[in-house]
Amino acid sequence: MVTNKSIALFLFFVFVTLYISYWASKRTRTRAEFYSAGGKISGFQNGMAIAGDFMSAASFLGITGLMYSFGYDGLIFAAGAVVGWPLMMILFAERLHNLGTYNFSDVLALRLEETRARLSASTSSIVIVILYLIAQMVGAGKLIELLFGLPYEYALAIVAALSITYVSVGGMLATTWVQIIKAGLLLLAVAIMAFLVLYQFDFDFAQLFTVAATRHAKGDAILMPGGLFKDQVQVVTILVSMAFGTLGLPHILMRLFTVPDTRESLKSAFFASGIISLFFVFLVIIGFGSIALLLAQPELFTDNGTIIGGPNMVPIHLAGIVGGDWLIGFVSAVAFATILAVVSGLLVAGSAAVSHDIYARIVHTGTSNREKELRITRITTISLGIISILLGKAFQHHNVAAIAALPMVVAASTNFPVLILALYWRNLTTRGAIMGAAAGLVSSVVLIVIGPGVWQKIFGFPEALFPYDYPGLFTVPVAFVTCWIISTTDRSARAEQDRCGYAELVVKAESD
Amino acid sequence: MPDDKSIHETIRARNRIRLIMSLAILFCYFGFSFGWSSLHDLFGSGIDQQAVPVGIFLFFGLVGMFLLFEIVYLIMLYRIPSLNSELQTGRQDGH
Repeated sequence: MVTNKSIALFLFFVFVTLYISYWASKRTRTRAEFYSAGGKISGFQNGMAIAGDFMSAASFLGITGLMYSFGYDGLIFAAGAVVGWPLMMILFAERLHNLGTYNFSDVLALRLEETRARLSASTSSIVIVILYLIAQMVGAGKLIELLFGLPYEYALAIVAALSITYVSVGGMLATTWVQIIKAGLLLLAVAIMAFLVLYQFDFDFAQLFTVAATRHAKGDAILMPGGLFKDQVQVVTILVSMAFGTLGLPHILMRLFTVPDTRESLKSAFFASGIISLFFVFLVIIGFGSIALLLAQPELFTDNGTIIGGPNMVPIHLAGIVGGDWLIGFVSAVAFATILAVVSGLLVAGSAAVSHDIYARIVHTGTSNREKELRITRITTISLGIISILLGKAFQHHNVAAIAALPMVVAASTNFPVLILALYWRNLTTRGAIMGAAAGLVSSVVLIVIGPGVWQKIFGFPEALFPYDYPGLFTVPVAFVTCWIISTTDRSARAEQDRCGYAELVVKAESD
Repeated sequence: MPDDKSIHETIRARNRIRLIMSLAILFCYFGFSFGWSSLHDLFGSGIDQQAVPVGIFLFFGLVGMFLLFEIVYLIMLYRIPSLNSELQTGRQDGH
């Protein structure tokens, strides 16, 4: 799979991004510059960076692979990926920006008792970041092994080393520009591929889908629901997990603080939504295009009929078919760049949770020295990078899809309920928020562990105790109900303070 | 919170828009998943008619609807006076 062109393009990307890190390091002196790029990113740039954070290799390779294998049902994941953005713009963009400084913990700390709120928010953020890192690193290792022929361990080390460099040298500014470049490249790659696929069918959608249905073993069934999901609850629980999980991802929420004002924050979410929507529309064309075009190429299949490299390699094969060596090189380099950029974004969010929330605000109660805090940030970044290599190695032979479900479900069941209630419900108390987040965290981890992805595929039991991989439909209500019950029955002095402070918070949240 | 009726009204109006738009988005989102099977029963996959399959068409429509909702939200939001101007007026009036 490896070509000189892909290696050359990848090295060029690395060179450019390392130069950006050096450039950003000259402009990153203060805490605000490190965590939120000094609030100087424009709405469009931030929209691109948010889109870059979300358009991961899992989306590009994984969802295309699902559409190739199962047809229409792969669209459920695409629909789940686009719905979070309009909700982010409507519910969070203004209020979060006006209330927070560096991350969403600042918002909870303003509304609730600071130490407990920050501890709870930073714990869930670190858990989500680590789970997300595992999924990214395992995917990265396997992908790079296949694309570039590098040993799995080397691939992990390269991804971690480059991401640590971007973050620890250039902070949020470097990470943002790496994301912007990567998002632009990825969007260009999928746009070229979609154009070339449609070109093969004279830009006739009907012809594309007809050929796809004719060539796929399942025939017309690939255009109907039921290829992957057997019951409606399975679909809805994925939709719930993905929609609300997006609204609870710490590395995404953190980006709402990198713009100068509310107007730019709204613009960020709007542009992110548009770019992500466009990306998934292109993916639909690529997904069905891969069915129509790859199945006519017997040399791409092994003796037992599976595509070389597995379904995740479908977009790479398609690039070769429609665009030749240059496009395959470009798409492979972009896939690698995608992983680097997403891991960098995660490292910023994880290091901010440790150094800003735990070290600076809880341990030193806001009196920490700036240099020392930034040093802790860099140490945390390096530590998280090393942890991600170790976990990537430990989970090497495990099911990536099951691991990838975890961060979305945990984010939907911990951060999202607490954040939305903190912003819009007067009666939320510190105790209610912490218990709600804990209930969401425990229930989501337990249900995922006893679900098919872990219980059957990792532990090897014949039957799962819980039938769904994405338990968001059950765990999100658990978190909301716990927040509601504990908050409404909380008669403590702190609870009164929490309720009284809400009105003032709302005015602050609505004023730029 | 400043005891000012117009500030209450502004916040309430903004929250009303947020609630309506969020419910509309969630309705379309879950409707897409629940409704597609029924639509398929009504219209077929669309492949026989040499048209874009209904499910794919619905997905493109869903994405377009989301973007439309966002534009509508922004228009509605900018029609409400911002809280900054309300607070400014309040200050000038001596509140």
